[in-house]
Amino acid sequence: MDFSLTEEQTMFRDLFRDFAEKEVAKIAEHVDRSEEPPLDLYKKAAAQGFFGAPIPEAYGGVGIDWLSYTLLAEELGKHCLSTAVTIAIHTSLAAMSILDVGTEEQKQKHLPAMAAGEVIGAFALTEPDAGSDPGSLTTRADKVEGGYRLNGTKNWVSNAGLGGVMVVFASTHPGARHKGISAFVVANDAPGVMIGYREKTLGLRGMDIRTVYLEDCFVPEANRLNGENEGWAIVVRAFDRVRLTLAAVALGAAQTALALGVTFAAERKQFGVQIAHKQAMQNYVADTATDIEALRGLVRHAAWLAGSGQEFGRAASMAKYFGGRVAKDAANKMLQVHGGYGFSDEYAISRYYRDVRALRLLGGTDEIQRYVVARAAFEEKGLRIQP
Amino acid sequence: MRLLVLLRQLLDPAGMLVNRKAGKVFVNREEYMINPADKRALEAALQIKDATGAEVVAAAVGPARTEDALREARALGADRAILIKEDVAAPAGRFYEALCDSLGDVDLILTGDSALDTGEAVGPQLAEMVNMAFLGNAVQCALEGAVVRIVRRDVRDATQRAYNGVEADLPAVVTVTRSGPTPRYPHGGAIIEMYRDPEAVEIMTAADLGLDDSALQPAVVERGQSFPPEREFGKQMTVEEIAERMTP
Amino acid sequence: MNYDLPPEYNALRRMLREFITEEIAPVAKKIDEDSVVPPELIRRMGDVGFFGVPFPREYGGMGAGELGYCIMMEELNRVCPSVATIIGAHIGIGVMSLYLDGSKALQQKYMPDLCSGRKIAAFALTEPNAGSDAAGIQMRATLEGDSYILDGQKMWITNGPIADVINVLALTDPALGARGGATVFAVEREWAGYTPGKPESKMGLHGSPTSLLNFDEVRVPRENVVGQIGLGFVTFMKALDIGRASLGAATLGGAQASLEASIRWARTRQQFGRPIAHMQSIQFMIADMAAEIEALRALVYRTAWLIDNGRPFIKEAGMCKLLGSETASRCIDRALQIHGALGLSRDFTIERGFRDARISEIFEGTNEIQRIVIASELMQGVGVRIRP
Repeated sequence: MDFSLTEEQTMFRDLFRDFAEKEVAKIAEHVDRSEEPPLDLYKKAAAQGFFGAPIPEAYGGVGIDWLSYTLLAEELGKHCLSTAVTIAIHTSLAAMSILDVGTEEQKQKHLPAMAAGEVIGAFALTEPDAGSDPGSLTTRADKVEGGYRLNGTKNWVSNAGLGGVMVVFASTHPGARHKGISAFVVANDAPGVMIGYREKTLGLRGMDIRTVYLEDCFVPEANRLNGENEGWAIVVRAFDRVRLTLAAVALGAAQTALALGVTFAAERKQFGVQIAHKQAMQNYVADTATDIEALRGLVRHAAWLAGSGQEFGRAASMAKYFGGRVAKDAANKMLQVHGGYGFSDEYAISRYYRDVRALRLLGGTDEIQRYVVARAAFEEKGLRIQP
Repeated sequence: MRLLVLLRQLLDPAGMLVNRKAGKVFVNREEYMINPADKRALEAALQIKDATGAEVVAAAVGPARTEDALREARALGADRAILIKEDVAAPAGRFYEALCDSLGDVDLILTGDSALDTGEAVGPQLAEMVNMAFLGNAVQCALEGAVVRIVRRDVRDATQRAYNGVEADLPAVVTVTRSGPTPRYPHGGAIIEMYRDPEAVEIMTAADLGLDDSALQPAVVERGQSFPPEREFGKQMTVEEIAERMTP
Repeated sequence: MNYDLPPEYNALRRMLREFITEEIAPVAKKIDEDSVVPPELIRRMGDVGFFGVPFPREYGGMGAGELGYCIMMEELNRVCPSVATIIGAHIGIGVMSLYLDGSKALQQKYMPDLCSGRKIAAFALTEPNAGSDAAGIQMRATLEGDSYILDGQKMWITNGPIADVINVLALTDPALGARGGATVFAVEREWAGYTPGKPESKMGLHGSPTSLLNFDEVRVPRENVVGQIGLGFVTFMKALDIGRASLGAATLGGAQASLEASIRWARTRQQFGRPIAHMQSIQFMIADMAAEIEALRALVYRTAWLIDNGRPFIKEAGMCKLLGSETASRCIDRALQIHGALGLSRDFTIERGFRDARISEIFEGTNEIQRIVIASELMQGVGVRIRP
């Protein structure tokens, strides 16, 4: 067992950290207040290759390994969760799904532009009545000559307003639930696609999350990802990837929250001493630091499984579930350390408190992650459990 | 000038649940309220009081819990409240008639046009019984000297947007609809006071009003509950379907 | 033991709930978005008595005691924490300090307007370097002829930007410090030298304005001293003790709202082919909420009873604030979890509730301070004096 990063991974981490500290940190507050996606920052990040970090060089990416990719998510998550999650969804859900099952032609067509950040990817799965349960999609893809005609409504589509492509999931075999889902790559400006209402949210206010309407949207057969009725496999693997990525984002966010609290406790004086001398504060700090190290272990382990080609779904679910909780608890405790200042928008901790809450919901709620973990446990006994 | 406002207390439908399968109404929370139209009649009376200084007497027939409605009326501004404490389903008209006699010089009786639960409307008959003029379905009500003026919806107007005014010489009975004046909220302190004042509500019985047993006999016997048939959901029609239907 | 509320309190609750449902609920979202409570709403609430619930009728209050005050805070916070906070700061600590220790003349001068909501009160204790450590205040009050001259700055003052009468704690004898050398003064908004700052930008409670207060040689006549010279800290601590019980009541309302929203959503939302109410993860969150809320309700109303009956209540009031704020935070967190990503949307009330709830663990003495208060009360019984 060797817990250290390789020389290459260390180099990447330093690069990510440098970029995050110099470029991302300074815009995070503005992004939250203005609720505008930081497009200029995305250009800079794309120039560094961050929109295609794990995409092979052959398709215009950087081709870094899984562990390095989680380091990117972690470093971005330390400073701006909107940016970190935007890039995580673009990469882990959209681009890597095309990489995963796309034909050579599809990869050549989409990946270089996506890796360069010229085209930002979205993942249109969730529907008003299908959140955690993608088996009950009502968006239909009807077979027509030369392709499919898509009709339906998708909501909570992250990155949908950033102008790019979406991996859209629709039912090609109604009644077959998840066995009747197919995936399509659809350009945001294709005829029949309407990018609608932008969600106003508690946190992650720099993200562009929208409702997408599909009205008689024609998609040529060449744009179908994977075989007909074989979309579910894409969903499962995309979720595994994004869960691991979000766990790394949570790891980053929790560390910053801790750092903010420690800094405050070292400066703030009450009862004649720095509040760092109060055991209540010490306990908050110690609990948070311990949680963070445990989370780091989970994330690194899952990244190692993924990077070495092993099954990592269960580990990703654990890391995501634990990560969401750790980040939430970290922000909560460190906000408490700040006292009244923590409730003010002047201090960054209140932004982290709002932002990290989404990590327990995006990419599958805590309840779904626990189901995934429990399912794996019961499968060993030959028992197939229902959620 | 004396105004008599007749109130009915009924179960708040917010605490009820209708189970069609079982054919029953379940009362989850047994909470009572003043019949909404009666509450607006009280508001109309209080507005007259504000304008003229008239005395407002609120009255109700019912069991002990009916006191709550009357204490609320006192908190809202009624000068007196009288509970005819009889736990019967008898027609309240007999009690009201006797109450008017007992009070003497009642110039104006106000009450709701109908009860929310039973649909019962006491106003018109009561006007006959006490020999007063009757003005029904008021949405506004005002006094000018010895004349009462009301505004009511003009039923001749199909758009339901037209109103007309009628007036009558006092004494008169006026019923107020649920579109009547918006009731005020009582001051919380008045609620506390009126509940703590043991004399806030005067209690009377049928005997006090000189009524014999015949007034106490039930007029209605409950045999069970039934419901109108459940309405089906509307069907969304396509343009073609509509066109087809419209083609003769 | 009688757990039924006296009938007047049921009637009061019913009226308050009707007012809040009809008049406040429809504008609660707008209050959050615009960061302001419409003055017309404040006026109408004043007419009904919201601003003077526990105070005597002779001052225009409701005369409903701590019990009535707790009922009002519960009902109000169930719907709009911003308005509840304005009233909580006004009644619970602002007017309360005047009512507890103010002279008859001072009470007669200010309380009728304050109880009817025509004037708003604030309670100014916190300073840049005196938060949880309230004894660390530095603001000065110097005697000059028949007046005191107030100089200094207060911060994080709830109602600061809108307050007409400000009860402020300042050092009259710096040598003695806050305990023994501080005095409360009632300051009027119009007086020269007093300027409230701009409302702070906060995570939640957007409708409840909070600001700095600047006192630049404000001349305060001697008759506006609240209570005794040098005993101001005691007055303020007494007001804070009482305020904590009603804060517990407010959190009870917030937690109850989370539970009600969760039950409604669990019944409506379908996943995996059935309402999520059938999922044990959801059921258990709802059951835990309900159990915690019931425990809190028992504690809050028992504490109100202790206060109304002149029993010792400091420990219990601290518990109300501690247990209440943490229960409310857990409940809104579970409600958000039950709503899934939709709960993050600002189109749902859950999102606002999540932002609004958090401050209860902090203001009016952080929960860490509450734990110290409770432990101190307990340790005093065995002869141990705790220093924070």
